[in-house]
Amino acid sequence: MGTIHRLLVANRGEIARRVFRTCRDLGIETVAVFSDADADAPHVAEAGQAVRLGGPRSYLDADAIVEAARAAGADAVHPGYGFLSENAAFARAVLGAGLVWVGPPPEAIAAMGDKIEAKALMAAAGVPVLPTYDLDDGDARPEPPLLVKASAGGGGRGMRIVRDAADLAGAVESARREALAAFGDGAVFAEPLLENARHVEVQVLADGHGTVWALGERECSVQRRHQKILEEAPSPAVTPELRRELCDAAVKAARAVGYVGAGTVEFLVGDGVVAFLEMNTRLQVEHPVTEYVYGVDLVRLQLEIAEGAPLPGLPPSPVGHAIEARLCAEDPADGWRPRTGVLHRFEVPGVDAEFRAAGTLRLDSGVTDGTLVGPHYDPMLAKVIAYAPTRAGAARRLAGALAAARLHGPATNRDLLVNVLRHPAFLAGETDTGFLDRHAAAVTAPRADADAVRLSALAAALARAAANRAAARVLGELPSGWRNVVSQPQRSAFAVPGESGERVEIAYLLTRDGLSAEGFDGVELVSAAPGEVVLSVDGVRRVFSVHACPDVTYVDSVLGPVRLTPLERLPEPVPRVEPGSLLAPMPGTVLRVDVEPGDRVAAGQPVVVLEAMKMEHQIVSPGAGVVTALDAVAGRQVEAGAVLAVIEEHADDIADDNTGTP
Amino acid sequence: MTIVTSGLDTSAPEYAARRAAMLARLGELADEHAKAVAGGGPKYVERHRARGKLLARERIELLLDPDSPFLELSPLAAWGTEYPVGASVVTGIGVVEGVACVINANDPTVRGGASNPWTLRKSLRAADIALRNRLPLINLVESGGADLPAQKEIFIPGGQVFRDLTRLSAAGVPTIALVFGNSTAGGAYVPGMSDHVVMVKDRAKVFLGGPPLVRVATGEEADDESLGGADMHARTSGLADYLAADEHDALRIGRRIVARLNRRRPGPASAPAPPPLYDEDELLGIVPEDLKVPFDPREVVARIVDGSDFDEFKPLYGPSLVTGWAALHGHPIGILANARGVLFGEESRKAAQFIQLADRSRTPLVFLQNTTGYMVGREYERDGIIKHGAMMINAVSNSTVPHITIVMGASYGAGNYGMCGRAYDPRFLFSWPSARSAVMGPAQLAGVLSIVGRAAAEARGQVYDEEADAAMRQAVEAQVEAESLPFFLSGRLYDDGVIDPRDTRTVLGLCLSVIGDAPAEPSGYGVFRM
Repeated sequence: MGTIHRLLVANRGEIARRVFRTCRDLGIETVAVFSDADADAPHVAEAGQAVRLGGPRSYLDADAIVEAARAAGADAVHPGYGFLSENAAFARAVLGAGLVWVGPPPEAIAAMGDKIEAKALMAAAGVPVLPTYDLDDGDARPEPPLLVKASAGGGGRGMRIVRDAADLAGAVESARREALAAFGDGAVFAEPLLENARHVEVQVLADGHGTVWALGERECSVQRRHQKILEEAPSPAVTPELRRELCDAAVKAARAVGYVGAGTVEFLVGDGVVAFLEMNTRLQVEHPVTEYVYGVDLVRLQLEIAEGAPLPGLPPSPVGHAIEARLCAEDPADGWRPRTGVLHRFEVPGVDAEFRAAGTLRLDSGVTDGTLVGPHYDPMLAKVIAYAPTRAGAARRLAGALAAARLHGPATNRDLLVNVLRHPAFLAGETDTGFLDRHAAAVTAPRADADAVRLSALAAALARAAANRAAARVLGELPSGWRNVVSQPQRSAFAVPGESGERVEIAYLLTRDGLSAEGFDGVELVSAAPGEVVLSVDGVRRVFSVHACPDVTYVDSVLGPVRLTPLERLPEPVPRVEPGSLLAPMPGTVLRVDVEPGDRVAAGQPVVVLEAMKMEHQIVSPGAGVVTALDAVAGRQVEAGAVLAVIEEHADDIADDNTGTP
Repeated sequence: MTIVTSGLDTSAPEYAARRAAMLARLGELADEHAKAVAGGGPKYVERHRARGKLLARERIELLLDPDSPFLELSPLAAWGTEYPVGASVVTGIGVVEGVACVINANDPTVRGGASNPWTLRKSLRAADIALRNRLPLINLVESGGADLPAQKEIFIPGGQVFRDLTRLSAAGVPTIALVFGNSTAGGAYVPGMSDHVVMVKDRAKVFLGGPPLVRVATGEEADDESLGGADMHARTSGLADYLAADEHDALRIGRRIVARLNRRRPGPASAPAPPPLYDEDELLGIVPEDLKVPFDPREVVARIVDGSDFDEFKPLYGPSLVTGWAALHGHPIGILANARGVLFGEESRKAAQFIQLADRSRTPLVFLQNTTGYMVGREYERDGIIKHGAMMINAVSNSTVPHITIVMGASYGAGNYGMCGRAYDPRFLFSWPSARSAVMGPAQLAGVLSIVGRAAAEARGQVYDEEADAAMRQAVEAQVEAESLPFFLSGRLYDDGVIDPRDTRTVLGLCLSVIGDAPAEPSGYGVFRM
């Protein structure tokens, strides 16, 4: 142990940036690592040095990271969360290379990393636990409902709910596969499924001098597929007595494994039940809510502990309430499937601080304008954290900020987060793990209703008109769409992305008397610019921000965000001729057909011979493939342009190198 | 900066009355325009749509750049004739892929888009505008050919349509034909003479002789498609450069052709243009209903030129004609505007000098007409009013800068000539609904006829029939009045359209812009008779 001068963060995205922020505060130089997919990522750009690791999974390559630290002259490694953060072998490798490991001792990681063992250890230390069912024991027949979990895992991966004993074997099998792929360890176990319980966790900090702090609890019960999306501190369901109980248990747990550093002890809290779930031997995604409420910088404390410093005095007392939302590129309406693509704009209004608990709104973002959200990593784009004296105040602040955010790119869970934060049940503190299932209909509806979509489309059309005028090379100075003889309106059509495939057609006329748009009675145009349209609807003025990106136009207003795909007025016709069609070059008679349907043909191989103008014309295959259609018949007259045969290019040589990543 | 000071009292009852009268005429104008837009009427429009076809104006709207302006030309053509208003064709100037073009679209809902004598005149005028201003000409073709009962008025002069096309091409002005339907017999030479030809699959029909004619002429049995289908022309005859899958595709290809014309704008980029300081809406209340009452054209100038900024030339000399310099949408212009109707010798000399100055500085001229003609009377004839008028007409005729004329009010007598009437070939001429144009005022004309008739009767020793005279005067006055109205004159193609006075700045801005696309011509003069 010693003073850290140059720290490598073995991670990506917002957590790497979060650690770098504290490093800058402390004067520590920074080293980033990156996969090829992340070469242009923000965390790479803002580090003092950056080392390329390799393919998309290279953040799991412990050797490469240790080598990167050596190459960049780092003297310490912070693992962030996920990837190798709870990998004892990696911690050992870092320590073995003579570097400072910003994390708990490898032994503590190992002890907690195996959940089956950890539960036994905790039970022995007097921490309450749920029973564990050994799935390798053929005689054990645990009663559903059950939760199958990966012993090595976290983040919901390798986790399956089993409600019917018949499904157990299948669930175990698929959980094993997923766990093996994600963590390199296929061990799974089962425990009773505690439905609609709360997920409450306690932040602990332990120094190397025997001091252990428990910095209160975080409630992380609003989850989808066992992944948290909203976290808060303190929990609305935890009484001072329960808090003491949880904190005592957490401190016991930390002491039981000789813990040093920052960690989190997770509990399930149900009807009169408190049970140890697991200990996360790393910094949590949701650590900012604790930082707000306790006024600490957890990364700074991690670094100081790693440097051998003792915790400063007594733990601080909690003040106020903080809520964190995880903004993810995923579509709640489509089974939470992750979405990829370019994030053209990422703006959260009113942010007081980034990567720092200050003011009332904090943003920890792994993306910036123009970031390409790829398929390789967690779809989380950013965390937005609000802080207020009361829980209701924090929820309102956070909902307001998310609602007004500009998220122009892949679909996100933003509307769902806003809906949850404004839902009466959430505000009443009824936030157990079944919350989303129970209120699915209410919270997954987009905030923009059909009228909002139509008004947004009108705004998009008018913004486009303004953009067209501004970009006009000639006569741009004349009024938009001016006609001395008015015969019809200008037209713009948009497709609304989603399953509905809905089209919105806007017909508008701009005259000296203002806007007249079909089906928009009572709507007046106040102003139109390429980026902003102000409409007055029945006397109420609303601002519509319009951002036209390639293929998609994003409209933001108080009515909710709307994504629209502008449709071409004069689209290129879909070719009616199948690709690979062989056409008669001139009118003639089919002399001979040299192939049968289904035949494989080589490039240049004659397919049909045509006689025209007393000459034989060979029609040859343009490439290797299979004859999928054969219209030519010997002796038949054909017109120029007639389809004689269709050759489908063969796919044999297209290598299947899609290895797939978790 | 020389800002025009307005003396217009918008709270005066006269202003309200003038405005109300102008709005009433604009209402009538809108009704007449609606007739042109209605084409062949609901029955034929529906039949056309039922065939999956777009209307002429729909084709134009899709061809134009979205939200760009379009100035329809001669929309009232054939008004007051036996043919429908609009003359079964739509012409105008619009922007396609950033290039100002002249568009000529047959309206197939009006007698199959067949040409009548007014169709021909309207199309020839559009081609003339294309040539003078070097604007690519795009024909949207679907016409049954000549309206056969009127063939004698069309056949021989109609050849000019095809001659114009190739002369445009020879002058380096591209011509494009998008063929949507029939384009047969003589009409086949529209694609035939165009630089670029697109035909719509299964729709375009281009042949010299259709199946009946071919059978009569040669006995051959052939169908439309084999004689002149789009597919045949695209693959075999080569008359079509592009085969369009449908009408939208034809318009798409047409736009791509224009995009690849490599047209660059030779004229100077217009400077930033502040709008007029006065409200254009007030243009409605300037012209009195009774054209005997003069009005100050500076009130008009103040509402159409950039920043209402107008530097008057010779303001103290010949005050019946206002001359001066201004800019309109950034284009520098010289303006000649009648102030008190009558042109005297001083006004004529002032105009001649001003036009020479504009020619020297290559500044386009805008004529704002409200003239009752050159002054008559012994004193003025002795003073040489003919010489002075001739000087002005000489200057107008031989000036080589572009001219644009707006008929705001009266345009009588030789004043029409001196102020660049239609015969003096301004690049564009538009009328306000308040315009009147004739050899002289209807009352004067009737009075002259009466005096001449009385003299003739007296010479023959007959007693003049006063009752008949009164009836004759009334009838003549009514006829001349009717024939001097803007719809009537616009119907005969004596202007390029009747416009809303409030659109004057926009129309002039568009015209000045496309005029700027034409290269400067050398300046030179005939001899002034001094």
